[in-house]
Amino acid sequence: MTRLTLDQVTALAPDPQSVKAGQKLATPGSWPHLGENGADVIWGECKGSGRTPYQTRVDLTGPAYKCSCPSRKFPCKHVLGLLMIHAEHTQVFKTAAPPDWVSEWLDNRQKRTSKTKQNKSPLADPAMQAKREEKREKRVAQGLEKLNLWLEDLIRSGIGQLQNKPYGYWDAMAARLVDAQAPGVARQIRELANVYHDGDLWYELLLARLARIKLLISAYQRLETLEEPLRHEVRTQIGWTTAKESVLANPTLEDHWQAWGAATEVSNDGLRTQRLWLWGEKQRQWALILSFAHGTMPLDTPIFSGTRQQAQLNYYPGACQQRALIKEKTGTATPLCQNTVLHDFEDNLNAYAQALSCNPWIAYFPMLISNVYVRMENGEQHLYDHQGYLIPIKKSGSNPWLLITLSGGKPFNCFGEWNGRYLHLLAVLIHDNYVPV
Amino acid sequence: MTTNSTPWQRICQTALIGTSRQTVVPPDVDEATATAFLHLENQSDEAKLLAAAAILDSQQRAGYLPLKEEIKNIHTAPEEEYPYLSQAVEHRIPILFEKENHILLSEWLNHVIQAKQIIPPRYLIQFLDFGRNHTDLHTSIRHAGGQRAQWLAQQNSDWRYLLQTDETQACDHIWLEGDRQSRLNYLGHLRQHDSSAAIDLLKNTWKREAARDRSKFLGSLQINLNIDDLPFLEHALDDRSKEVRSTALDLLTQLPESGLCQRMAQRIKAHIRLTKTMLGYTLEITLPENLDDDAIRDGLARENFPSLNKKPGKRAGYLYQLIASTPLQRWHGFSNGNISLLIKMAGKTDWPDIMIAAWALAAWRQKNQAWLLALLKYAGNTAEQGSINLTSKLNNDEKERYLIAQLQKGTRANVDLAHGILNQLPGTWSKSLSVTLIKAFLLPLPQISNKPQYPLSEIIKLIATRAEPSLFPRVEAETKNILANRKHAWHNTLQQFLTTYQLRYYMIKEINA
Repeated sequence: MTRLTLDQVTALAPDPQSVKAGQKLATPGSWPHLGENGADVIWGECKGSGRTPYQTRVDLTGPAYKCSCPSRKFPCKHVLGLLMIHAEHTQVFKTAAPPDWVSEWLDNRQKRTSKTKQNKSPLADPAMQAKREEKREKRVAQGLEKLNLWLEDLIRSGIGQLQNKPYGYWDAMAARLVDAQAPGVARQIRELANVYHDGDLWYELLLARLARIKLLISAYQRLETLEEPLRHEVRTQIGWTTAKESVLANPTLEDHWQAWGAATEVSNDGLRTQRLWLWGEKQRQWALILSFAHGTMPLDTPIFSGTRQQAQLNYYPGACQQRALIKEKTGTATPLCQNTVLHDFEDNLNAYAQALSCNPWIAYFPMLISNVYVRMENGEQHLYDHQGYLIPIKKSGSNPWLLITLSGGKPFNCFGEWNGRYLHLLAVLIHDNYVPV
Repeated sequence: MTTNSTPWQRICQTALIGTSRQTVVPPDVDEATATAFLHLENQSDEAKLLAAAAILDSQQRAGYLPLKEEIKNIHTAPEEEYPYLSQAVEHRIPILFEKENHILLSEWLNHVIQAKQIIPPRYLIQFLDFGRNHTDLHTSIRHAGGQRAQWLAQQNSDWRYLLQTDETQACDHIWLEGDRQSRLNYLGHLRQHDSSAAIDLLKNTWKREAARDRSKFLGSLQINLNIDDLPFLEHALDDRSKEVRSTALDLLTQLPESGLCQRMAQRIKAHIRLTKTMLGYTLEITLPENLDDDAIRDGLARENFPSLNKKPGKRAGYLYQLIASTPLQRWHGFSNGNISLLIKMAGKTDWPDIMIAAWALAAWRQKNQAWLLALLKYAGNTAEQGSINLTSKLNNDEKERYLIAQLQKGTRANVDLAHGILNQLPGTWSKSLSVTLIKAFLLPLPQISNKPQYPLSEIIKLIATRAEPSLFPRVEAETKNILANRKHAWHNTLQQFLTTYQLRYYMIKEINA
């Protein structure tokens, strides 16, 4: 039977308040009827403020869940509470045939999934598609042409005058690129509004970003001369999406995938993007699983951070294949333990350089560094690897004493995203304990 | 623009100012990079700058050189003696840090310590930070935090309070240089751990202290007051400051062994005698007249009468002070140790109120359990005598026994009494007290239709946080009815009660599982 750990349940919650509310409900006393069907479905009735108890049901394989409470949060505190009890006291769930309100839900879900499978859209008329595609290429080319002039204008009048330009300034240009059907470039333009947060050297960062956009424009202008993987990468950067079918057409790789961590970003329009990093034990390479969600909708969590999962996976086409799609999970998840991959900071930097040589637009590069030490100096943490190389890390919201407290001065594994200047720490693994940071 | 800036920095400077004001000078770069730049020849200045920036930026990112340091003396935390809490227990921690549950932390920590377990590192920071403002938890956190907490406290000055050894060293200079409040805190702290060291510390600087400070410092000897303090206190009776003398008197009268109390016992002989009349034994009282200097030094002329509501006459006041400072043991010969008989005899004298009030003060000062109980009984179980509270000086076992007895009599007026005594009882209550309180206050709630009222509402809260947790399932079963009735005036109070009590029940069960 699948069993989520408390950390995994916490990771499902839409916000910290829901975690707290769930914890309050996580005592068997609040749930007079708790059941499971012996096949990964659990349910319970929770006494709430209403007259009738709330009916909460969870399919652990998804996980998928439904609750009869009126909360708009998803999952609600009842689902979280139920999962927490299941994590702590599995024995209080009685194995039984599911009551009607559970089996109906299961049936409906089954119907829905089979429907979506049947509903695959028939291929559109190829001639029409080619025409549409031609039209788009033309619009993108025009849009990038305008963007090029705009960039050159910025450089001519000096980027010093761009300091503290409001978000709307960048957004206006981005909107024009969306119209030109180049949403990827639009996103890169919007992100420019954030460089001021990076301290005194904001203009160096801004110039680097502008230069990368310029590089993308030049690459698109001579797209025909590029080799296929890079051509695909350029198109992806600009905003062409890859059809799921063509991803699945790539070779399927079966492996044990170690989920080392997920970074979530929220854009100004409320879109959340989650980057989940998987390390393939046989493949000895990284796979990036992206998921997107708007507002308070939950992000898809195919594999929990801190676990190891056997699964079949397909990489997206592109230079320096990173993005991938999980085709199917083929085993049960186990906790991540002390890693067999031993990489110091230097190895990771070399891998980064190599990756840049095939794809100069890489913005986030996963780094798993083993045998890292932390030392405190004037209340600030300094990370260095076993060779003594200092690993610059971004000051995060978490307590600066966390790593020294967890490690007790002993070496540990750390995982994060490298952006060329510092590591954005996502998790540490200390004595087989995976801790998100 | 400085000459030793890098090509990247120079290109950034140009971009900052703008190519309209500064021409793009091809940066001085190595051969390979220069070749890459050759492709840019025919382009505009702006395009050239951006392209060059793209090349240099990629170079910089790909060629990142980390700083290297020599690794020396890696300082690691010592191994732990005890195992960490189980997962089920540690996940309770965030709930305990909710504001309304802070009150449960101390009990939880005590159970963790008893179970010989320690807090896992990932929760330590929360406890160590919390302890900064909660001195009452210092000892518990020190024990439940394990070696790791000690190790961390050596590195983070915010957590210094965990280091016991450090405390004394750091604080000796507080005594010599600190302000009055921190000196007072330190003296109190030292007194708690080593009462004679505190006296020695005080003696060292005694002559230099201002009168007001002397009296305050002397007052801290109330903590762990004992007969070793007598010489110093006697000495303080001759202090120049009236305030200091008064504090010394307050302390000396609490120790029946003191010279002061013994002198009183001598003096009283002349004023209260046991005589035999036709009606049996009576107390014959002669009020003191003029006081000599010694009597004044011993406080007979003091004008504070805490156990009286009204100021007595001058000579009656002398009598009051005399009795209130006399060892209670002194009277036992009069009645073969029968205190109620003595109280009865006092009632027949001309000064019954003075005598009872003075005895009440004496019993309160000397913490004489038999006398306190007898006086409580005499006063119809009213704990207040003037401004002193008789039950407050009962020791904890007696308090509990007394309260149980009162509650079993079952009168409503006991709410205030119970509230008063419960606030003085530390820690988790015994099973019998818990059961009595639940029966007396919780189970009758359905019969109360008034809105929740102080102090009953407060007692319910106290039961939730202090009653023996193992009783929870029974209590839950017995309160079902009232919970079913949502309109009942006490519904919300009871709901809260059950939430807290249930949390305690599970948290303790989990630790001991």
